[in-house]
Amino acid sequence: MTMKRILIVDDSPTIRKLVGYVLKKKGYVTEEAEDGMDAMERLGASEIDLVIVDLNMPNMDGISFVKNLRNGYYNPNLPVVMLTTTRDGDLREEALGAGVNMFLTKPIQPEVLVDKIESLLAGGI
Amino acid sequence: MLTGQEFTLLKDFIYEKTGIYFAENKMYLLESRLANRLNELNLTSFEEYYYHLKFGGSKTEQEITYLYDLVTTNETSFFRNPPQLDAFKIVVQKNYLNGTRPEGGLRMWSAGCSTGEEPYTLAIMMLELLAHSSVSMPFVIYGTDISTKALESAKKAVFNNYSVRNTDKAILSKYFTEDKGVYILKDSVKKCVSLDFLNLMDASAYRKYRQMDVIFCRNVLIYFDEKGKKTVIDNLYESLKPGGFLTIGHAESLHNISRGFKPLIFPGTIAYQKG
Amino acid sequence: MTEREKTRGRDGKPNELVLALKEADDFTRAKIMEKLVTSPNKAMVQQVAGLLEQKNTSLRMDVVEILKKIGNCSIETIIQLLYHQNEDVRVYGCEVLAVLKHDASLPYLIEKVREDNENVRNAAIMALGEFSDQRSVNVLLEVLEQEDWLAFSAIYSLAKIGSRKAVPALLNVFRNRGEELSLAACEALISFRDGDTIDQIVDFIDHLERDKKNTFVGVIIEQGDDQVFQRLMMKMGNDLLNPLLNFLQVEKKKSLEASGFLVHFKHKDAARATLNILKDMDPEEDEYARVLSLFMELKDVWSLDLDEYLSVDDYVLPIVRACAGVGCVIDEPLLLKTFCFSQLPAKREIMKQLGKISNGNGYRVIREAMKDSDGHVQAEAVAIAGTMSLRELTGDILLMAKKGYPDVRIKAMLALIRLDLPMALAAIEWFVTEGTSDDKRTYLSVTSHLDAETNYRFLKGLIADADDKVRQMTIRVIGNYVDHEEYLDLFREVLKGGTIPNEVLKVIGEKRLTGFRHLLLNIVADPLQVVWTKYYALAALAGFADPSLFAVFVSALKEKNNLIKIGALKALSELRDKRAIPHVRPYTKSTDQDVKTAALMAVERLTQTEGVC
Repeated sequence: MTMKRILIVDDSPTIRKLVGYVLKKKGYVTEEAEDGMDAMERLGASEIDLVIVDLNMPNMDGISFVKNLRNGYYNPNLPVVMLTTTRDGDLREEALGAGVNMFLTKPIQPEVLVDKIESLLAGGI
Repeated sequence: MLTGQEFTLLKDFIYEKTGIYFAENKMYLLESRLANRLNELNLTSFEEYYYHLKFGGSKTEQEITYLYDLVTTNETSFFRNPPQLDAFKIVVQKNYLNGTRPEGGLRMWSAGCSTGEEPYTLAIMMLELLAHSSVSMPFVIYGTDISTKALESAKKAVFNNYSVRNTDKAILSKYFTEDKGVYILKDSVKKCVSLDFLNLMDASAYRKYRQMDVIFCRNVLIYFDEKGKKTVIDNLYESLKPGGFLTIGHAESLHNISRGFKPLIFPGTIAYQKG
Repeated sequence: MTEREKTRGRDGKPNELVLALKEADDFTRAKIMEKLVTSPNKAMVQQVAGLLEQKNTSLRMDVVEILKKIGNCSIETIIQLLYHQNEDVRVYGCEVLAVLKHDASLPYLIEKVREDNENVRNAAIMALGEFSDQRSVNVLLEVLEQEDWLAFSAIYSLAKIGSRKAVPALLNVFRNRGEELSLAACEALISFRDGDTIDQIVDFIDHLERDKKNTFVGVIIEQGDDQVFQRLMMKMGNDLLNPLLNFLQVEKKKSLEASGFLVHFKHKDAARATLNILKDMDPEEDEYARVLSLFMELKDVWSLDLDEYLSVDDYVLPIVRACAGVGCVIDEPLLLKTFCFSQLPAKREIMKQLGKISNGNGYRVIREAMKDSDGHVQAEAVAIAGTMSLRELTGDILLMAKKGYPDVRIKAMLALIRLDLPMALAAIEWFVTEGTSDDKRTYLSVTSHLDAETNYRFLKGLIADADDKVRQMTIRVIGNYVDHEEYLDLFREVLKGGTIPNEVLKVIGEKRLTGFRHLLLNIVADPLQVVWTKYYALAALAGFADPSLFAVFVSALKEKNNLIKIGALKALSELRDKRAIPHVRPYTKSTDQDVKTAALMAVERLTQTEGVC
C-alpha cells in the first residue's frame, strides 16, 4: 500500500511542523507550503492526496486557494480540510461554499484531526 | 584575472543596461564568458573592456549585442518538459479549439526563444492538433530573444542530434528533413513562426506584442533578480488578453512576484491565467 | 463605529488609497500596497487597522501585511489590537507585533500569554520567540507545563531566544512528554550547541526502539548539524546509513544540505546516493563543486567499480570530473565505450578531462572525438592531439585545419604547427596566397606561435588585403613586432593609412620605443584625433617614464572627454611626480564615478611616492 501524501498549508512554520509530526507518526508522507500560491505550485509538482489548509495567509488565502483548485483542470475533487483559528460563522459558510470538504477550528486534538482526515481519505465525510 | 573590483564594475554595467543580474558567486562564470571576447578585441585587462563599454560611444551598442550573446546560454531542445507541453495542449483544446475561437486567430509568444526550439515545438504541436481536429483556426507564434547570434541560428532552423533527442520519430520524419546527421526544419513549420530581437527589460519594446493568448517564458527569469523578475512578469501581464495563459520555467515561481495570475494545476506542472 | 468612521484617522479625513483598497481586485490591491508603504504615517496605520474585521479574507490578509510594514508609525495602535473584542483581531495584533519587534510591546505580549482564548495565547507565545528577549523566558517555561500544542510553540520560542536557563526544563520534556513534544524539544536542545546536552540527547536516542530512533535521527539530519551527527555515529555506526538514505529519498528537497553526512560512510550506497544528488544538479553551479568534493572523498569506495557506475548515463559527467579531481585513471577500452554512448555534456567533460583521466595517451578516444559533430568536442580533441604529439593523427588534423568551425580550425592549426611544422607552413602558404578570408583569418589567429621571421613573408601579403577584417587583424599582429628591424617598412605602410591602430600604440609604450615620441605627442595635441587613439597614446607616453612629459599630461587633464581625463590621471600617477597632486585633487570630487576613482587612486599613489623630482 503506498503511503498517502498530505500537503500542509499554513503561514506558521510551527503549526506546519506540529501537524507534520502528528501525521508522520501515523505513516503519512507530508509536504509543506506557506500560503495558497506556494501550495498551488507544489500541487503542480507532486502527487498529493489531501490538503490541510489554513484560512488566514498572505499571498493567497485559504478560500481563494480552494476556489482556484475547484475551478482548475486537474484533480478538482482533491479533498481539502480547512484548519483555522477563526470561529466566524460567515467565513465558515463561505469556505464550505467554495468547496472545502471539512471546516475545523484550532485548537484541535491530534487524534480528532487524524480521524477526520482518515474518514475523508476513505471516501466519506 | 578578473579582480573583484572589475567584477563589480562590469556586473553593475551589465545590470543597468540589460537587467541581467550576476550574483556574487558567478564571478568565475562572467570571467570565462568574457575572456574570449577580450582576446578578440586584443584587450589586456577587464578594466580596459569596461572602459570600452562605457566610453565606446556608438560602438558600445554593438558591443552590448555581443554581451547578450555571451551572458545568456540557453539549454533548450525540442519538446522540452513534456508536462508543460501537455498542459499547453489541454489549454488549446479545451479553451480555444472546442471553446471560443479568438477573432483573428490564436496569438502566441515564446519570450526568450534562443535558438528556436521552443517556438518551433509549439508550431508543430499546433499543426498536429489542427490536423486532428475538424475545426480550423489560424495561429501565429512570435519568438523573441536578446541574443542576435541565437536568433540567426533560429532563422536557419538547422538542428543537431542533441536538439531533437526527445522528439518522436514520426514527428521527426514529418516535419524535418534529415541530411548528414543534421535536421532541417520544413518550411511548413518555419512559416508559422515570426522571429525578432527583443529585450524583455525594455518596456517600450512590448508595444508590438499585445493581445496575446498564450505566452511561454521559460529559461529567462533565471537571469534576473527579484526586481527584474517583477518587471518582466508585469510587462507580460500587460501583453496578455484577459484570460490569457502564461507558462514559466518549471523551477520558477510567481510566488512573491505577481498577484495578477491565477495558478492552474496540471499533472506535474502549473500554468497561470491572467485575472 | 460605522464603516466610514473606521477608515478615517483621528483628523477625520479618509485616506483615498486606503478606501481604494476595499474595492480593488488582487492585482490592483498589490499595486496600492506598494504605494501605501512608501510614505506611511500614524493616521494611515489607524485607518488601515480599521479594516481588520472585513469579511473579504484576501483583503484582510493584505491589511495585515501592510501593518507589518507600517505599524511602527503608531505602535500604540497595534498594541491596542491586543485588547480588541474580536479574538481574530487579537491574533492579528500578535502577528504584526512579532514582525515589528518593538520593545514597548513586549510586556503586553507577555500578558497575552495568560489570557483566555487559546489561539491568542498561541499567537503571543510565537511572537515572543521573535524578540530574543530574556524577559519572556519565565512565562514561556510556565507554558511548558500546559496544553500540548501551546507547549509545542513555547519550545520553539525558547529555542529562538536561546537562554540556557531553559535547558533543564527542555530536557525534561524531551525525556518524558509525548512524541511530538519530545521531537520539538530535541530540535530546540540541539540548537543550543552544548556538548554535554548533545551527549545526553544522543544517549537517550540510542536506547529507543528502531522506528522511533529513525524519526529522531531524521530530525537531527534535518537540522544539518554535523557535530551532533558525528557523535551519533560514534554510538550507532553504520546503522545510521539507512535512516540517512531514507531521509534523502523522501525529502528530496533537503537532500543538498544532508548530503554532507554521506561522506562519513565508506559505503557503496553512500556513493550512489551522492551521485543521485549530483545528477539533478547543474554542473556549473558553485554547489555542484561542493557536493562533488564530498563524492571525491569516497573514492576508495567507487574507484574500483568504474564500469558499473559509468554504465549509467547520468553518472558519467560527475564520475569523469571526480576522477580528474582525485587522479583516478580510466582504462582506454572503458573510456572509449563510455564516450561513444554518452550524451553531449558528458562527451565534452570527457574531452576536457582527458589529459587527467586517460590511461595512456587516449589515442582512440581522441580519434573518435575528432569525428564528432559537436564543435567543442572536436576542438578539445584536436588540442589534446597536439599536446600529446599524436603524429598518427596528423593527416586528420590537417583536414580539420582546412575546413570546419573557426575555433576548431584554429586549434587544429596550432596542433599541426606542433606536430609537423613544414606541413603547417605549406598549408598557411596556400591560405595566404589562394585561400578565402576565413583561411587567412585562421592563419592570423595562430601568428603568436610562429616566429617574427616566419610571419614576415605571410603578413607582407596580407597588409593590403581586400577584406577589411583581414587587414585589421594583420595590422594588429604587426603591432606586436614594432621593434623588429625588418618590420619597419611594413610600419611605414600602416602609418600611411592615417589612423594608428591601438595595438601599435600599446606596443610602443610597452617597449619604450622612444623613437615614436614625436608621433605620440602629435596625436595627443590633435583636436581632431579619435578619443581612443589619444587614450592609448597617453598610455604609451606614460610608459616612457619621462619626467619632461609632465606638462603634456597636465594639459591633457583639462580635456573635456572623461576617458582622456582618466588616461591623463593614470599617466600622472605613473610618473610619480608629486607636483601633480594639486592638479589631480579636484577630480576626486568628480561626478563621474570612474574619473573619481582614477583620481583617488592617483592621489593615493602620489602621496606614497618618496621624494620629489
